[in-house]
Amino acid sequence: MQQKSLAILNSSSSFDRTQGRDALDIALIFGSYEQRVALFFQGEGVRQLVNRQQADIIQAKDYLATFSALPFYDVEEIYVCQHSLTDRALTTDFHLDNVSVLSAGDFAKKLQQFDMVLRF
Amino acid sequence: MQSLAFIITTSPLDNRTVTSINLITAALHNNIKVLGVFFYQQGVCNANKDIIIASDEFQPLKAWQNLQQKYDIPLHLCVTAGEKHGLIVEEQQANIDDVFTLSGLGELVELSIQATRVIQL
Repeated sequence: MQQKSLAILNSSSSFDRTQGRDALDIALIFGSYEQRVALFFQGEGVRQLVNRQQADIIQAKDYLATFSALPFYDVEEIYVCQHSLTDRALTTDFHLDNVSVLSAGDFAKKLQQFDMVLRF
Repeated sequence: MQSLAFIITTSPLDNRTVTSINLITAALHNNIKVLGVFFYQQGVCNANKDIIIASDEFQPLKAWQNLQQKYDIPLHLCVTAGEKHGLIVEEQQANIDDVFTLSGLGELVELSIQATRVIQL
C-alpha cells in the first residue's frame, strides 16, 4: 500500500465538543491502514494528555483511556509543545508514556515532516 | 497530475463550508482534479436535505449537488458521524440527499493516499 504520513494537530482541550475523540478515531483508522500517524498537542490541546482526568463527572465518555491502544495500531509518535505546557503551568505528568516534549520551534519543524495535517 | 481531496468538518451554516465549496470550484476551473470530499463531524449535516436556509442566502446543498452532478465528484459521508447526527435511522438513510454516498473512515484514508494534497478548513 502507498504511504502518506499524517500529523493530527490537537488544539482543543479534552472535552471541548468531540474534537479529541474524533481526532483519535482518525488516528486509529490511519494506523490500521498502516500509515505513519503522529499526534501533536498544542495550545489547549495539551490538556488531553493530563493524567487522572475524570470524564464521568461531566457524563463524557473516557476516550482518553483509548490512547493506550495507540501502540497496537503502530501509532507511536506523540509530540507536545513545551511552550503550551508552560503557559498553562502544566507538568509532564501525562496519562501516556513515550510522549516527546518539544520546544515550539522543534514542534513546528517536526510538523513540517508530514505529508498531511488534520486539525481538531 | 495534481489532485486534491477535501475533508469537511464544518456545518452547512459555517462560513468555512462556503469557502471550501469556493476552493473546490476554483480548483476545478483550473483543471486541478478533485478526487473526493469526505464529510466528518458536523460536516455530515451538509447532506441533510431537510435543512432550510432562507431563500436569499447561500444554499450549500445546491452547491454540493451541482459539484457532484457536473463534475462527478464523490461526496463521502462518514457513517458513524451520520448516525450521531440523525441522518441514519435503523440502518437506513433518513434524510440524506441522493448525491451523497455513505462511507467509512477507511474511505478518508484511501482519498488521502491518492490525493496530492488534502485540505481541511
